[in-house]
Amino acid sequence: MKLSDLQNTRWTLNHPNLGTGPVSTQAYSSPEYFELIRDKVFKKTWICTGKRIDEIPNPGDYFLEETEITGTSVIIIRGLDNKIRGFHNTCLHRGTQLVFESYGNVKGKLTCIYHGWAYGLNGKNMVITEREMFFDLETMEKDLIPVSVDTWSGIIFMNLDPSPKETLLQHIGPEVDDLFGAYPFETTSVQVSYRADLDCSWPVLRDSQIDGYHLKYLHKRSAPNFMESEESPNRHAYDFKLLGKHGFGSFYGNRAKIGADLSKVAPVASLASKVGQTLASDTARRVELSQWAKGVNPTRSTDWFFDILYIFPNAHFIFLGYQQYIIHKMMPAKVVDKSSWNARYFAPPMPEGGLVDRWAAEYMKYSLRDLWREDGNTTMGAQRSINSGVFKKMYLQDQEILIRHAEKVLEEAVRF
Amino acid sequence: MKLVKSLPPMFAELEPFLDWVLPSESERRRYRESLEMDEITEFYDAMLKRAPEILDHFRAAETEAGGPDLVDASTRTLFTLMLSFSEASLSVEMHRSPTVPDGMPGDIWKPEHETPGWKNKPKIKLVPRVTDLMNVIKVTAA
Repeated sequence: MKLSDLQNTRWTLNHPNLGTGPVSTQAYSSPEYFELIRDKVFKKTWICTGKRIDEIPNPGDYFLEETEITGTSVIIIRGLDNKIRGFHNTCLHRGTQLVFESYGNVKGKLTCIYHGWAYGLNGKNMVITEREMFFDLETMEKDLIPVSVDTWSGIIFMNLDPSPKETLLQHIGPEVDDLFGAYPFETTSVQVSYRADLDCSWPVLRDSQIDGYHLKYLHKRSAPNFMESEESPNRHAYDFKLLGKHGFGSFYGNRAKIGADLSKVAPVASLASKVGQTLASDTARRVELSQWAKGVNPTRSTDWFFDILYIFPNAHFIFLGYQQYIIHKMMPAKVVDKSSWNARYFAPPMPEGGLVDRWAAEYMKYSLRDLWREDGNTTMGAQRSINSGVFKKMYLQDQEILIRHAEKVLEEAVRF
Repeated sequence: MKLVKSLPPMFAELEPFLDWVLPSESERRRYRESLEMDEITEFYDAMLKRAPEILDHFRAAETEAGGPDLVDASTRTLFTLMLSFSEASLSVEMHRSPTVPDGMPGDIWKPEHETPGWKNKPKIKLVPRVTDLMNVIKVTAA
């Protein structure tokens, strides 16, 4: 497919229910709407933790999943039966926090530091110290309070509703599962993870990673010439798909320019891309395109940069190659105009892990970090103008269809 | 692990740049951002000249030592210097600035690998996909 073939495509017009008019910034600033988002979405929808099953491989392994908008701290823990479960991080005696470290392993039970109460890895109460002194032993609620936990392709999701109205697979939907379920996630592990607390609302943050329009402009330093196309200067996206609640886009990258120019103007970037796998590496040539998961680089272009898969509400997958991707976990914070961002990059662990491999992997980390700083910067001033009431609506072009869709899905989730 | 302030003898001319040898990513990044472009460029140019040989040295040293974690202290220092070289290269090649001009302040990004909990992180163990097994269970349940 040639980019110029897409010049006259208007994806938005294929979805009349989206409309083409300006989109209100109500979700970006209203405290009342924020409470609705908390109650209708974050308390009862599948939230992506951004972490994979391989990060808690053994019984007793756990991590803490803290969600600011709902004020919850949840222990995601693998049981003795190998099943992964989630429980509120609270002892049933006097509400004491059970676990304090963000990661760890416990041997067979969780013990509270306060009075020594203990719980099995399945949440069942195992020990009440001096139990004969309690009055309501038969009727008291003494097991850990569960939340729902499930996995899709090895990625761990949590739902604060212990009886969610749809399963994780129903939430993901058959189309996303069909197109991306077979992506070789299980051959990868997390290589990089950064976290930022930002002074912008969650929708502003969310929008910063579902738009391909900005790539050529914002990232002209971090990804130089990657987006140049003489044939089609606007380098429109190869593909957009609206998949239930979720959105997808596939984006062009100038492989020939990247390779040729880079070694002259950016020799270190070029070197790293040859000895390792970085943003400039020719991922489309490393594994035969026909082997790639169905949904990734669907037009099977060699001049391809990456795909975005936005899983409502909080996970942006950025596919960078056959088995390399980023998960951006974006969450609202305690109030409407604050949010948090955890960016995690996944790739196969280095086979021998020699020093040259490690050096290239570190280069990739720093280059991603600097590039993400550019995305982060655009979010900071926007909130000020939204908060002041000065900026009330956004005019979005056709290529920003995923923003339109994400707002529509959010609105529907809040209203029903 | 403490870093020694010396390099393998064949790279002795890089010793004026030992101030770039800092143990964590955040420290190296902040150091880069504290310098002027000409200082960063001087470091970059010196390293660039030797970069291919440095990578060859790593390959040889780890083969001889029996693994990348067994190389001697001065090679470890050289490796850290190469990490700083990556930082410097981002300034020289991409941003043309000690910092990221269109980017948010660097301290906002907190590396998870520098948080206290990270050292308790269970060792990652890749788990193969078990689709065939799932199918078997479905059939017998029916």
